[in-house]
Amino acid sequence: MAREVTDQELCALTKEWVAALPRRYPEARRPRRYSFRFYRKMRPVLRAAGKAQAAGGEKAAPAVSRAGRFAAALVAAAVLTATVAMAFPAIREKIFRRVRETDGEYTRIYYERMAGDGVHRIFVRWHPAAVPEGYTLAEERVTEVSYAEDYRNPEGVPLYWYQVRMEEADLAPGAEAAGEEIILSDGLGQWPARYVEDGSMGTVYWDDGEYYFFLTGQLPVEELMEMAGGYIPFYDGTEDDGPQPEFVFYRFSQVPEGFELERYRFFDGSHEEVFVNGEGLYISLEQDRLGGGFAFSYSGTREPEEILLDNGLTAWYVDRSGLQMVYWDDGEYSFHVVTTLSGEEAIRMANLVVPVEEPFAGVAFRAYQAAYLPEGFSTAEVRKTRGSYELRCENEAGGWLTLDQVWYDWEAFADDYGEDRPESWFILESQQVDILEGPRGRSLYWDRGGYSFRLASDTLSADELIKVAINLHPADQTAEVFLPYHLTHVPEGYAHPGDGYGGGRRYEVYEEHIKVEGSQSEWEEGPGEISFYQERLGEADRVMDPEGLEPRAVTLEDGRTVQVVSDPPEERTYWTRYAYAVWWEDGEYLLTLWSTLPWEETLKVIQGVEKM
Amino acid sequence: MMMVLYLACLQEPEDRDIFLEFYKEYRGLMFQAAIDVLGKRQLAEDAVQDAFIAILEQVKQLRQMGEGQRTGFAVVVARNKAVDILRRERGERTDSLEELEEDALLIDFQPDEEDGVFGRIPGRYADVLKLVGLGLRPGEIAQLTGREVQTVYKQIARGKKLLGEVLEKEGYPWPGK
Repeated sequence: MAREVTDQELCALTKEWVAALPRRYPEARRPRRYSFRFYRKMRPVLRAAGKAQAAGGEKAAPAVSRAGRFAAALVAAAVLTATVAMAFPAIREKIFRRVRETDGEYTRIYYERMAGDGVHRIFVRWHPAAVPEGYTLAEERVTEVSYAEDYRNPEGVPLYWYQVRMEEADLAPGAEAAGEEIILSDGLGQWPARYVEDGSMGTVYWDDGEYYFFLTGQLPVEELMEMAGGYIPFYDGTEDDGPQPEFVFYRFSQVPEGFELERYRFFDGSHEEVFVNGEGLYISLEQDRLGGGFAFSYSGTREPEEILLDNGLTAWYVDRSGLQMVYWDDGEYSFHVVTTLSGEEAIRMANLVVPVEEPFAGVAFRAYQAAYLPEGFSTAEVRKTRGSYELRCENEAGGWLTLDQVWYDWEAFADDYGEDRPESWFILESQQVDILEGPRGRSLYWDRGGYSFRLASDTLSADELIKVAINLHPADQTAEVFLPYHLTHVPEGYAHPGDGYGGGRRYEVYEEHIKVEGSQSEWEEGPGEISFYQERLGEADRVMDPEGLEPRAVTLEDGRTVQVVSDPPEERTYWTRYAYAVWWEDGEYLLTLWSTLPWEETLKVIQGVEKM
Repeated sequence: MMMVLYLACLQEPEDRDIFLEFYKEYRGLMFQAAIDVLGKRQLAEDAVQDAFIAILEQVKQLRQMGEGQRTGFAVVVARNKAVDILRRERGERTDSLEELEEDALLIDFQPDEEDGVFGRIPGRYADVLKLVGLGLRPGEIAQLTGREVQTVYKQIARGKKLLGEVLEKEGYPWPGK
């Protein structure tokens, strides 16, 4: 009988495996275009990493300027108006190596330090959304810490835009704040700025807490203020490439009998459709625009077979463990057909992919219905169009709840994000849900099944809105309402990790975790933790497997009987870190709780498990 | 996987820089690893995002890793999240992938030749073993993969045994010999 490998041998084998990875993934270093949806979804993750704007997405909330910053601004403004274009001697700039990084349509240019202090910070450029008629961009300059644009009109009159990291601006000792205070607005919010004049040139300047911004030109102050208020993130890829040509949709001209459209999604420069039949077989088509963007490339172990399509194009067919794939491109788009039918059927379906004039023909908009509404709320108004659904509910106290559903559109509710209000997020069915809070109420935003959603209310708590959100279902689908329980008792000194919502629902599980307050997510060796899971009976896969430990039934004060397996640390046999595993059913759900706490404390937490 | 706000994980500037550096350096590789499993761009992007969310909580591990370890780590986590998504996609219509893999192990297991000796055992064992080989502890692996820690312990034990059998029976050289 063979012996098992040791940890040391495992390390050696893993090293060999890592060494072979470049051969397996030769395309990994190739510049790649991710969908804007990807950037949008990654934005909060990057924000969590302290680089809120790294994905190039949003405008930071304007901050109130401090007196010291005005001094720096004054110096820089004076420099801007007095020197030749793009020369800023008062601003400390170092020698950088120019680096151009392209993710398809999103190209970033930055300057990397030639030598020195290691990791650089990502600089996100901003610039005016529009300039007055007649002005054109004459020159631009990017460094790791600043960005400048020089516009000129036909007479050569300059208009300067300058952005610099606040900590990189040299301050003039003793300089005083100057200029009159003005208020800028982008239509969503307002923030303070300053205006100074130097001869015929006027400068508007402000900061957002991370950067100083300056706009200088021979224009009326009102015009400068309007331009300044409309500053936006810079996507140079989009601008370099010009407008994208119209996207021509390709679809299957027919599908085998019994197959129905299950999913139809479209993104920036791509679309996907999936058909299924009653036996669970499926056929899908994915179409992506080429041109510096994504093209499907196969990197599996089986050799693809070259085939000729009826339209004369060369394609490749491969059987991947029962998934039949055919992929090709026509110079403008890449196509990718996948099916669980036979290989012959996959090739036949590939030959049925044709351009269509009506991309949404036969694609029904499936309005989602709220299977759960908070107590007292009832439907007040419903509006449906071919591509949208709006629901408004109200209660007797005048409180409201609205649901907006549109075809997937990454910027469907983008305007809401510009407001100056706190944000948080959680995961719902593997999709990120943003929570925005503001004076008009609280809103949730997410994408799901090819649609974008906004759920808002002036009165409901985040928990209530989440409950509504997780109980939204397509109108023609009879779905049971999932009513989450949650932990109402948190032992002293414990808290949900992170700030805010410490739980969520993923697939068919609701879960929640509490730990010793301030613990640094040291999972295995942590000082204390309680994990709670709720799954629908019959779908639960968190079935207890006590492996020799005998469960005992414990009846609680409220009459509930729970099963308990204890494995205290001093007698630890199987459970690696939890002292207690407790589970019970309520007729609809299996509820499970794992705890490292003493039994008395664990019991209090169990007794505090209540429906949300 | 825990549904938390991850901000608390990255209070230290060094962690933030390391995470961002990792994101920039390895997202392409992770995308390749994910699409190799899923074959679909949108799903692969979802997997990459899931992987980064999981890695956020393990960012301190990145500090101790060299380039090779980070490369392996990126691939394993991305593939693992891709398999999770594949399971979900298939799970709506067929048996879970884990069950398929169990069956395949016994009846018609298709080895992944490009994955070396790890390709000779089912992916769920291989991933866990690779993470052990990269220096992660079972608790960290459980958190990364969204499995219970006792499941990970079981998979490590069974995986080591399976790998030993592969080395013994299929003529792969034992490390160090």
